[in-house]
Amino acid sequence: MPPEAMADLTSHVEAVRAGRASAEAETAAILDRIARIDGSLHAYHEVFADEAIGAAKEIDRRVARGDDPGPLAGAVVAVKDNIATTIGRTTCSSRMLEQWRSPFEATCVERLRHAGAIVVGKTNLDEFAMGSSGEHCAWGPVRNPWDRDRVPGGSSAGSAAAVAAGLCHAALGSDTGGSIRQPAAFCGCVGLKPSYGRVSRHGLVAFGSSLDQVGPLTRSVRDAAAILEAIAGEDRFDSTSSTRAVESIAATLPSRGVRCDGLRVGVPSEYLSTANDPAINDAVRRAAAELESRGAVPTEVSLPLTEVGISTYYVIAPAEASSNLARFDGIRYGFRAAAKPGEDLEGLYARTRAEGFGAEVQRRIMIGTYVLSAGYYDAYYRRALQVRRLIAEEFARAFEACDVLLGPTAPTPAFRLGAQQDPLAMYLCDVYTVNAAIAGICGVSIPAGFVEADGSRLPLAVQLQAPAFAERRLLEAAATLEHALGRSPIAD
Amino acid sequence: MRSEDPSADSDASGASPPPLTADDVRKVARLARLGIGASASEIERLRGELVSLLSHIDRIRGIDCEGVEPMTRPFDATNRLDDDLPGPTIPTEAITAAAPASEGPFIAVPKVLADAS
Repeated sequence: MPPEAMADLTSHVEAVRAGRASAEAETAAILDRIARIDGSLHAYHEVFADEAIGAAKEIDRRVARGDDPGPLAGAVVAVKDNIATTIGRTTCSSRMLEQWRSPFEATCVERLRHAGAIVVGKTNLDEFAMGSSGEHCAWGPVRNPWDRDRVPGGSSAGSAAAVAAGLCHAALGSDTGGSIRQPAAFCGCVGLKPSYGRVSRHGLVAFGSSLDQVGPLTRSVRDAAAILEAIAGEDRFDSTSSTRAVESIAATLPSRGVRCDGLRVGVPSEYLSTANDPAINDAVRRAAAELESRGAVPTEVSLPLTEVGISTYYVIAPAEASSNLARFDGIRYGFRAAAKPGEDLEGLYARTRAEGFGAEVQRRIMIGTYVLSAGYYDAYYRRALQVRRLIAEEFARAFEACDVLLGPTAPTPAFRLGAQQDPLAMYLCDVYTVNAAIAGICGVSIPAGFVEADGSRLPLAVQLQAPAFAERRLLEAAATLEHALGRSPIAD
Repeated sequence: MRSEDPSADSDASGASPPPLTADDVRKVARLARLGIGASASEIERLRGELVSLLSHIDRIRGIDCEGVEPMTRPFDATNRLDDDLPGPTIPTEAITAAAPASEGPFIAVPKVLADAS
């Protein structure tokens, strides 16, 4: 199957449901493509070939019998390896969980299967979802399908690379400070971070519990809406999952996503920083002009706290991470360092954690422990939570003036492997994505063409943000923009 | 850890890196149960990284937060209680299979208490 012939998720599902396409044939074609090209990308850690074919055959049988095969029948979906599945391992791309098999399945995965989707494999990530480049994976870096010498972004690195390269129809990622949206931008796919509470976190290995959300990476806005509808909604296993009804979005997108008459679009001046790559700012301006030509009303808004988002995030997220990752002590599950004669229990904990966690995870545990320690809690952690409220209030004021915010997803296109050696410089890549997580609002990154850079053709992207639980408004605006800017092709 | 109380610091510009010492780094590592710090150069590398990050983080101290209520989670959902009904649980064998060491239905751990003599 040539990649250009590969259908997107919703088209394929429609064809399978109507009996016009075989789920098994499509699954087999995708498995074949994974076998041929994933060696150079390293998007997958594990591929469930037999199980995927088995599930696809069952979908085809249901269609043949006249049973409803589900709203995602035959969709081939990859799952980030920090989301628990009962087949295969759930490693978080960490030595700490190298052999761990989850005894239960994440709610989002269970719902995908229930909807007829086929889970094809687990994708690599920056260890425990901490990173913005896909380089902090214990099994080696993930590569960008548009240029193998460049990073795919992170932490949902393998999920973004797999979608962009046509190695699945869609993938699940998780976003704590930009981990769905930024790799989607670097790889030229659609990446949706739902509002906090929209999707159950049950079975997502916890990083920052007040920030984490599961969401889709796809090749179209409509595909993202279809996945969201399947995985969203209340879950008795996650008390922070919202009880709000799940809206129907995907079905009406093709008609509602052509124009956006009256939509008030704000481009905060802080988002068009001169520190951004000029091609990024050009893409945002072009997107704003396209929306205006389709009926949008440009609205002036300002978000002066944009700049302190990273400082706030790098208190809250490491603080929560240091607490969440305390469970990895080598006793109940995961890696345990080899016993040393005479070593006490605390010594075993410390050595297990030093040998099991990679450098970036240890760095964040150190920051988190420091900001929570006696004498510093008020100065750092409490203060960060106060700034968090100010950031949320600033968004709320902006959303009184406008319906959606438009800006960059990341300040640059994909950078070269090894180019960001300084941890702080790497963290600053997330300047435009952390605040949505801090405030709990929803955001989506969508492709905005390409730029030629040093002989490479690299994807560009823009981000739209909307208030919490305004996913319908967000995705309708994104669909209009996608209509104007065009979809990204599959990378070879 | 640091010699001065940061909350008493009236200059909140965050321009100067906090005076974090090698001993501070060792203490944080101990609190975090991270067995690092074997070599002085490793401690120094970590200290440099933490100082750089903390000096960036210090920007939040320049923001006026007088009277602002800390926000611990994104929206003010009230915690809800689940009905207390019996249901299936994870079987013991699945738990012991996931443990790094087990003996029968138990997870095996190194001796916690010293032998009584």
